Amino acid sequence: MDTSVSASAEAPLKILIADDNQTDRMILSAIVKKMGHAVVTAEDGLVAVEQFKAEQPDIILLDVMMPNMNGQDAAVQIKQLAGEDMVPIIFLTSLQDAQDLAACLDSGGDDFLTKPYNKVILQAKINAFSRMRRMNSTLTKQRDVIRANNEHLMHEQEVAKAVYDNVAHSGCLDSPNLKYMLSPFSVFNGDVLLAARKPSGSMHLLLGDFTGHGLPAAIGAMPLAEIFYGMTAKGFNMADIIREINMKLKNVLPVGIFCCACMVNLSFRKQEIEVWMGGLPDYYLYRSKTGQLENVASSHLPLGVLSSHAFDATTQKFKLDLGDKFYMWSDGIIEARSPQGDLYGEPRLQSVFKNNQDPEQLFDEIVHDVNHFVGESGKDDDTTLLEVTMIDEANLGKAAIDLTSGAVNGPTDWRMAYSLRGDTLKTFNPLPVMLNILHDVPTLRSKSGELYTLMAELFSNALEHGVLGLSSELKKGPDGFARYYGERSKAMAAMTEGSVEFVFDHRPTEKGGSLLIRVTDSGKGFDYQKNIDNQFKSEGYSGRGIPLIRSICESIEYKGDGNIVEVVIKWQTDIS
Amino acid sequence: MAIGTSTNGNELKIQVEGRFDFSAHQEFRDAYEKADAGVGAYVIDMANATYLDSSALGMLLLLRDHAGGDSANVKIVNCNPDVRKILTISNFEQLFAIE
Amino acid sequence: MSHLNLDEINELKDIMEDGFGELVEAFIADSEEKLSALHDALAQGNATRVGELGHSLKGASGNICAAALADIYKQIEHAGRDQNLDGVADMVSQAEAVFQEVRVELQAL
Repeated sequence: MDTSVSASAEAPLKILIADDNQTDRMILSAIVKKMGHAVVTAEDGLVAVEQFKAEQPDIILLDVMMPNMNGQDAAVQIKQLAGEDMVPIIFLTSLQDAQDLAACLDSGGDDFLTKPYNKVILQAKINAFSRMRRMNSTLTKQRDVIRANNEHLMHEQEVAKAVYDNVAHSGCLDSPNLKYMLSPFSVFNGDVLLAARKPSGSMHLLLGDFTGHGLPAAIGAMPLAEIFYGMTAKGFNMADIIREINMKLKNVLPVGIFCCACMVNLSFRKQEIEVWMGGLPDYYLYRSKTGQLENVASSHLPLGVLSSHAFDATTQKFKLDLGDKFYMWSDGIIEARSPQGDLYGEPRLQSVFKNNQDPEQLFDEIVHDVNHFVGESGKDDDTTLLEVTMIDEANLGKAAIDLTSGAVNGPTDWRMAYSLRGDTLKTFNPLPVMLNILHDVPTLRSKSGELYTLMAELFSNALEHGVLGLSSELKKGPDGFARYYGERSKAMAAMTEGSVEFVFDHRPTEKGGSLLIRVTDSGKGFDYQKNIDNQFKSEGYSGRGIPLIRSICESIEYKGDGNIVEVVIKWQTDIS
Repeated sequence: MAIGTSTNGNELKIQVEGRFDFSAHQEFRDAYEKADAGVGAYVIDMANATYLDSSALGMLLLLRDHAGGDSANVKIVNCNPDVRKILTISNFEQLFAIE
Repeated sequence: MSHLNLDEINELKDIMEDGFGELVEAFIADSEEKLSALHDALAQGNATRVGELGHSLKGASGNICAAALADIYKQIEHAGRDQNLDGVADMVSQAEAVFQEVRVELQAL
């Protein structure tokens, strides 16, 4: 068996041997060269340092006692020159005392080799240090890659923050009736604060608090802000906007990510505030006359949780006097922590209000109190606070309507025809499909219940009274409905030809929009009376749900042979 | 934060101990994803939960989604006042049965 | 009586291969030089220098597997470090004598 340590399979190293004795140098060189490594020698400490600079050895064998500069001093200099690079130094010593040996290591050596030199041990140590050196080199490279990636990420976040600031904190936050405090790190805590004037002069505000932190939380703010600004500028009402935002976030955000939000419509003309809150702690309404605080609570789930059909856009309305204030915040205020770890909490906040002498100082007092509480720990980084005051609209200045931001969601000027014929008319219910298309129009979304009722009525009229020719007279009497539906089944089974066509014509108007629905059936029609005041009193009209239709539509008109009916729905988008 | 699970028929009970926050993410998910198929009802026992944050709310939403969304049967029980308050502010009783 | 440990010498030959002869030459030249310096240092009463030279010669002798010779140098080294040169002259003479014998043995290998 070969008792010698085989030369390692890795690349040959360069080893510096520093010893003032020639025989030592010769023997050590022979051992090291036999391992397949290259050798560089030095006869004292000074030369050792010079050789290190010149030759960049991988490992150093260093005698302790040498003239001109001893081993320990040489070791200190070499380690300094090596810097981050790991260059193992093995002291050569005839010392036996444990304390002396330890002192060698303390001075900067990595190991020692005692005389007489044991070839096997020296080779094993060289191999071990070679492995350590390679590992150190790998770690350093990995660290450098990580460091570069990290710098890259930090830079990207700065860019993201710049974009975010342009989107998420703009609008008319500098209006005279608003005071706000915004965390400088809001990219990282997902807070959004938006303010914009409507064409009517009212002011929309939105405070949003996305779950999570960092870029994922901030990304949801983009579509939210686009919708808010775009629809506000076009005069859409608050309920439509919040519904639209919820739908967008529900589509865009993964399950589990949502946005707690408060949206406000401040109407100066009506001296009223309208509030929608989802998932946020209580906000305060401050009455300037009495100094009293009223709690306004969230009654909704956060945005992005519910699908459109389940979403509730119901708002709370409060009349305001001049000088009344509404306070909105992210949970960073209530949950701010002192250096000792205490929570700021509601009681402290309420006492700021109680002790206040001048309402115009309230905002500053709150900010000051929170900052004071939080102290040096700087945890106020997470706070967003907004104070909204009801003022005279004359003091507000003109609304600068920003029409450049955001596309209007949904089409406003379009026409669509949809008809069913023959067997399809017998078996297929067209209402869900058509409602789906109408659903694409933001303002019609809030009317989807009414529209469904309306279209169901118009369709059943067209199909049953028109195509099938059933008389609504059949419905009268105690067995009326049973008889009617019996006849209906028979007539449906017998039908071979027939058609019902829906035409939708949607147009924007000065104040909002209008939707015309025309339903044409292939039946014989009926003798409708062209009445100037449209009383719809003749027999032929009964059972056609006219009162219901009239409650929804602006107008209803029969045309042709009575087999065409036209209804018009109109709406105003900016009345508040 | 520790998660314990137990099964009773087709009902899976998940016990949350300590702080229910982002660090619990993987454990909580594993608790319901790795359960046997055929679980029809979920009970989240908060008796030993001390704290709930928004990422925990997110995790509950994920569970609800996994359990069938609108048709899910998920109950949250034994909430202490702090936990209850957070669930109330978020109006989560509109999505979960809370006791 | 051999001053050299033959097992160790064989191992050394194994390590040095063709360089063994050179090693012997180096040892001899080095020893002669340092022994001369030792005389000088002794004459000057430079105990520190005596200690250093003793240390160096000890090491070299140990390398060449001449343990007994190394021992003598060790005593010289300690005396020098202790700053006590009494009796060192005798040690040096002894060392020289043993060195000559070692030299003969080495050159005979």
